[in-house]
Amino acid sequence: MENSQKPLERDTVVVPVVTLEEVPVPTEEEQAELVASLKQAEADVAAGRTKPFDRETLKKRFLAICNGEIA
Amino acid sequence: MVFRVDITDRAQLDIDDLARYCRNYSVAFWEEQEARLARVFETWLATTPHMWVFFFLTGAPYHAYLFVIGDRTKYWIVYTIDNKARIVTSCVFGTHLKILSSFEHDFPERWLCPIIFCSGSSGKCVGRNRILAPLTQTVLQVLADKRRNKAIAPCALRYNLPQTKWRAPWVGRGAGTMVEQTNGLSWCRTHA
Repeated sequence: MENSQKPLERDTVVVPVVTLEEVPVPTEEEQAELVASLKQAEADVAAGRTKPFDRETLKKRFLAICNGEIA
Repeated sequence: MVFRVDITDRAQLDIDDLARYCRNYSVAFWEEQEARLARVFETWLATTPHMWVFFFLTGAPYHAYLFVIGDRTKYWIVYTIDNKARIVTSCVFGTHLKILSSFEHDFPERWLCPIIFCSGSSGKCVGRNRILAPLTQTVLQVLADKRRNKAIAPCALRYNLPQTKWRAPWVGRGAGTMVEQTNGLSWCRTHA
């Protein structure tokens, strides 16, 4: 008898899916640290201390740090 | 339309910390995480930055993407969007690493407790024991877990479905409280 089942393999695509994640509630100190970080980042933006993302630059620096070439 | 992704010096320092963290693992692990991180910047943030809701701790204008490395290590990528200039600026990266790491270590199994979910500007509760992803970007829901002092925050790109991890309905009764947040550090918790 011929097997009439359809093959299970299907074409897939990766799509963003918004879900819920359980995370700990930060303490007041951690909130303050976050706010300070964001203010520092805003100061960086205001002062022009930002760099456009570049894949090769990221890879080079990331792997250099992993290798210990950059402390 | 593609956005330009800018990385602040502060965020770069955080990314450097991530690289130092990866030192403890193999070369294959480094390369995998670097490729995943690059994909986040050049694919998700550059093409669909509005896909991820506002950061649950701050509200607008900060969006957040949860970069998951493992069960015990996760990083928030906090960023802003300039729609006119078509620029996405990554402000902070991995601020809550320590918190999330300790949390996952204590509770390796993910599950959602019964909660009260509310939405809309009126603050009326629209459901209980349900998972409702916030679809509007002007309203965020932050839910507190009375027993474990945990919040449930919207994130993205997690394909695991936690519906098999439900707690008994009576465990979280009265624990959840709607917190509506549109801007600023206005989140709160019900933990007494």
